Amino acid sequence: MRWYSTPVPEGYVALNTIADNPGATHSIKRLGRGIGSGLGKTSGKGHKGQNSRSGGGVKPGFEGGQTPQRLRIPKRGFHNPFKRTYNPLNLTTLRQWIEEGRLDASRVITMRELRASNAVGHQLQDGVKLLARGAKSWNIPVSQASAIARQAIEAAGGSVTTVYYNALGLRALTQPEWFAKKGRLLPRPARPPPRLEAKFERKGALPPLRDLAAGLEQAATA
Amino acid sequence: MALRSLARFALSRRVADACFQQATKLQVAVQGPPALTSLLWRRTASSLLQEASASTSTPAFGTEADLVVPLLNQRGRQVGTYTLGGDVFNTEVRRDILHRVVRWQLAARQQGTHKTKTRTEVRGGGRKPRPQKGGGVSRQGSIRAPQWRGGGVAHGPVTRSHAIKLLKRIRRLGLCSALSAKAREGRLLVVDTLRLPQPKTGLLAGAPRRSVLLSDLSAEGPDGGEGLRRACANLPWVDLLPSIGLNVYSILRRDYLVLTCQSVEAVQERLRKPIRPQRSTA
Repeated sequence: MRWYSTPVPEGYVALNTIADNPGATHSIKRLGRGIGSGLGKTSGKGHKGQNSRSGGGVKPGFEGGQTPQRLRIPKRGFHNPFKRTYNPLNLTTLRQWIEEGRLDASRVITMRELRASNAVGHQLQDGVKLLARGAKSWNIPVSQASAIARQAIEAAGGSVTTVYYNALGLRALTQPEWFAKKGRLLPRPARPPPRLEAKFERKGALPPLRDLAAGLEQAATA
Repeated sequence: MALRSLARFALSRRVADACFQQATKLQVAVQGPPALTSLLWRRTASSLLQEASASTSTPAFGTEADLVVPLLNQRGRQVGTYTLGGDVFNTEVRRDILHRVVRWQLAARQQGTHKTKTRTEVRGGGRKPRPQKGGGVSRQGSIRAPQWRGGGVAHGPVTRSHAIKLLKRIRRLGLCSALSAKAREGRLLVVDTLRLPQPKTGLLAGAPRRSVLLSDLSAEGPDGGEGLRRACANLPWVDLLPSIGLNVYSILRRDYLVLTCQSVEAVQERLRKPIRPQRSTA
């Protein structure tokens, strides 16, 4: 093989002239491999005692029997199990996405389109909240919208609808193919819980709302 | 050290010269000019460097500007020009990335079927060889302990995968780098077709013995196919890969890279395809 190769000229790329950047890799610590290594006899563990044994040492946060810090200090605050977290969507992002052709403004933009076009990220929490950085005309059913964003869109001749989806419904909206793959039926849309009723204009349409006309019809009959 | 490398250099030059002489002899024996002859004949590294520097129209390397290269036929005559995509053939040459990709390839191909027997796997040794106390000799529990002759091996090799992970983007970057390096060095040649009139090694054997990787579309493709595979199967200085098989290690271990137009198109398409398919917005 080498006999058929010509000598590598200066500056040419060959298997013997490539190297990773300096500092890109660490050399492994070889423990217990002789005096010269500096990590020979005791492998850097010192002499005797709990920490020199295999699996030795105490668990993290253990302070030798004294009440550890995480128990000494009182609890503070509370955890809200009913908290709803929305992925934010600013109007500037929306405008950019539409201008770049990543979203089709001539049709209703639902949360499914928003997620699929990567405008709100892949992991939706409880839905999408529209925020007011920028403004343009379009129709967008989202979970929540800030007052200024809504004003801006309505002033521009568009409309915003706040629709309620529970976790299962949101999945049916954004990934209906998952249900098809599992051989399951799409769930019926869930009503919002009483405490959230005032925050939403209607419950979400399932199967996913695709175009405005069908959506409006459905809203009228519901 | 320097003397040794000088000596090796001199030896390799002598071998190369010998190969040339042999090649010229062979060329006389074969009827008609063999394929690939002038394709690789004059294209020594130094002459290519001069050619590259002489042509002023070449865009700066590493700028991702499209490269216009001569389109050659099998005899090495120019039959037109061909435009190589700059995003594939004119990227920055990242030697660190090339090194990582080569390491990834070589690690992944290691079989990992090495194994020694531990003390539990060596036959026998279940019985305590002698009483614990009273013998005046050391305490022993098994005749297969590592310190015994015929005992098991402590911390020996076990069958495992040596593969390391490398991001797809890095692997692609590596392939672009390798192709760009060959293009920059003038050791990337684009030919219209590599299909031979007959599946004969003699048609290739007269060409100078350059370490070369050929690439056609596929074994069934119109630009090389089975005949070319048969013809170059016994030539140790020629490798042949279908376009889908082009990889960093195979490219770098050979001096020259000869691609057919269709192979170029296929590899460009492969490298431009998004890694994560665009989710449909329908």
